[in-house]
Amino acid sequence: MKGMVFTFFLELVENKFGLDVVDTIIERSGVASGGAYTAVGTYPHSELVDLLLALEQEVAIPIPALLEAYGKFLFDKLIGGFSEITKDCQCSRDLLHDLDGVIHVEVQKLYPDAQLPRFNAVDLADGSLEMHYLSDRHMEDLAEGLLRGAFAHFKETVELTRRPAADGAVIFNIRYLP
Amino acid sequence: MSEAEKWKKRYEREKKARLEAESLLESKSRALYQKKMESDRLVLEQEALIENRTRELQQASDEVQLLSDAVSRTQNGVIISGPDNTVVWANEATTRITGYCLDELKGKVPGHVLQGKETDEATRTYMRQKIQARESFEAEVLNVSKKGREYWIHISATPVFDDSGRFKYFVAIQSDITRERATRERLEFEIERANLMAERAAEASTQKTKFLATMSHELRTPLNSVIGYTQILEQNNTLDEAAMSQLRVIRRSSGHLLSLINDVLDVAKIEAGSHKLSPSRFELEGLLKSVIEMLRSKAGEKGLKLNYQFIPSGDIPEHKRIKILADSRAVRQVLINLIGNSIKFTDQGAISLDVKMLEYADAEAKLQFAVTDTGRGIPKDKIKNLFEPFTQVDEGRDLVQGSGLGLSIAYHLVQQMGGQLEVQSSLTYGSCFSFVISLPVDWSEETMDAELLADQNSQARFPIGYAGRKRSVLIVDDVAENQDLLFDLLLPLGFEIELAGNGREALDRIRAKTYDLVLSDVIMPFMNGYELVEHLRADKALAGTCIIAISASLMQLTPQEKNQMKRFDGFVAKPVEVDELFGTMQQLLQLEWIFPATDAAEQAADTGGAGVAALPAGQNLLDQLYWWGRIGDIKQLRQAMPRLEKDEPELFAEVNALVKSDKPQQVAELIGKSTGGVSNV
Repeated sequence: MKGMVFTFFLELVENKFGLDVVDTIIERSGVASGGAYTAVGTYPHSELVDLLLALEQEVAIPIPALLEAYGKFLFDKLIGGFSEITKDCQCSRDLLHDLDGVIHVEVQKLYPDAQLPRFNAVDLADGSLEMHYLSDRHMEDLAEGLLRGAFAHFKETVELTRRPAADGAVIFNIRYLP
Repeated sequence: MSEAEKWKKRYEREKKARLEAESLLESKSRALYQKKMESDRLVLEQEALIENRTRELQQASDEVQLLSDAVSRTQNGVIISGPDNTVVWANEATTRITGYCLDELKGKVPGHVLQGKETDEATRTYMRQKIQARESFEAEVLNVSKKGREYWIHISATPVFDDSGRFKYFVAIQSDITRERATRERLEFEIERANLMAERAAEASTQKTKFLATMSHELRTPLNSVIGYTQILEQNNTLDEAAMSQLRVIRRSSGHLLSLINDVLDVAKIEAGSHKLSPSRFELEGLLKSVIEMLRSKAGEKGLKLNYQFIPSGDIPEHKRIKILADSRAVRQVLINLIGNSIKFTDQGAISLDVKMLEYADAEAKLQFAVTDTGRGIPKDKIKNLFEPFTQVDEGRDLVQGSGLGLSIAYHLVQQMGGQLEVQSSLTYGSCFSFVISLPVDWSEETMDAELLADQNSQARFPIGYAGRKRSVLIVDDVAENQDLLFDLLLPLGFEIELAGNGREALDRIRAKTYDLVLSDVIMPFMNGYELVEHLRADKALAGTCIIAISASLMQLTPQEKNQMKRFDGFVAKPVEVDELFGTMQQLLQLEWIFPATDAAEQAADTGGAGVAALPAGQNLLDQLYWWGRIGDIKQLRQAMPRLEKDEPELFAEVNALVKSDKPQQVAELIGKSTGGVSNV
């Protein structure tokens, strides 16, 4: 997993809970990297899980909630950092459609060794958008967080539901409300 | 943990992250650099490839352009036809030539469109065969243009095959040869015409030559008699001075007539191009001397001095008899004509013949001949045409006699010998005719040759008999007058003479009897002189017969005739110069001619009144009478009459009558006829 996921995470933890908590979770999780993450590096995805576990323990907030919060935070960071790639997107629907084909392709070019999740956006007849999320890291909660971040960014009101798919994927259904 | 320790830990964490970031950056940069290098290399490779490819394309394009231009712009028509033999493409020139544009030709068989009903069927078939066999061919074809105009083209067609040998198309190149064909036909026509005209000209020339030969013979025959008899009469002592003088006039006039005839025939022959030189080796100075001698009296009549000078090259030892290889008759003729001409036009002073050897090397010399006179000179405007026939300077009273041909003949003869006759003249001082010819030259110690000897003796005396036994002569000639002439000439000299009218008659007689000498004309019916001599030589028994030909001059014979002439033992020209005949007879029969003494008194003193000094002792009366008759000694004859009456009473009456009427020659003839000449000693 790309380093920036870790650095943004620690940044959020620092902002919300302070540096001491950062130290603690690093210490307690015993991650091999020692918490010395650089945004351009690559670290095992398991370290994030470990850190999340440690944080849950430390601040007594369940992991899904933590991930969702992180997702929102992360979205804002990403959209700011990759403005070139996403400048043509006027709403979340545009962004989500472009996510797999355009955005992640460009990201892959910059970070050839990045393991990006697969998204498949489908417009349904009733106007809702379905996002199929497929990843071997199973970060559905992070994904939801990112989605909510997107809605917030584009100032949209949505109804978001999700359900598991047969092949291990997760299907998000987004109904846009006026 | 203390704050400081916490912060130290945090610092360490940050530092580690930073270092890692830097390391990643470095490796990323390196990787990027590699990639860039590779990328650059690839770019260069690609560029090079592109450049090559572009160049190849350009070349191919240029070639295509070239071919396209060539085919499009060529003046020749190019037609390309495909496997079904129809036109696939044709160039502009084709349209220009045929009148059909490409669209009208595409998809059609060329022959069907372009040929007309006049096109040769054989050619059509030939082309069709070749096209079917996919073989290249060439042909000339008559086509018809769109407008109906007929024109000729030359086709050159070549099949084109692809790499696997399959036929792709025929490429036919056509050029319009209508004009060439017209020119060719015209040329052929003109050549035929030229040939025809050349044939006609050759024909005309042959006719002219035949005419010349006939005229020559016709004119000479009567002249032969005139000159011959004049010569005989001149020897007749019974004639008085007046008659002799008249005879001399006749002799001169007939001689002049002969030379005029010769001139006319010569110039005609020269102009017809049939005069040929026949060189022989002779002594130059001898010829010069004889020419001068021949003309000396003519010059003397006008009181002119006539001299010659011969200056050989310093490279030749002195006092040698220098011989040249040339046609002596031609050289003689030129000199005679030039000197004769000078004599005509000079009233006082001198004429000189100067011969100088300008160069001498390798047995060849450049000889300059010059005839200079102190005569009237020739006006400048007349010089231009001087050498043309029939030009005569001076009209009117001062007209100088002559055929006007002399200079023309001289000019042509000199030209034939390789020189150029030139004239320099001044009205005050006179004229100089000169020419230069190159001739083979050598020298020897020999005496002068027989011909000149004969010339030298031209002033010699007439023989009156010969020593030794009586010789028999057969005269062969189809013309009675010619027979008579020779008969009259030879009988008095003591020859036994028989006559034959043609070769066949002569052959019969010779088979029957051996003659010491046969004198034969050449042109005769039934069997001519050449045939006669051939028959004689072919027969072993007769091969040794001595036969002299009497004929037109050697100069007028063809090379073939000259060859045949060699079969004879000797040759005498007509009209007969008696001294030439006598000279030849002397040579061939080893005759010793007997000449009369020049002074009667000398005669008397030498022989004591017995008559001819050469008369051998012990001759009988008839012989004596014969001799006296011949030399015209009437006194002796009269004295001998009584003895004759006693010894030969049958003859006496006639002889006496002749003696009484003062006819000694006739006495000799009579006695000659009855006894056959002088008897053997």
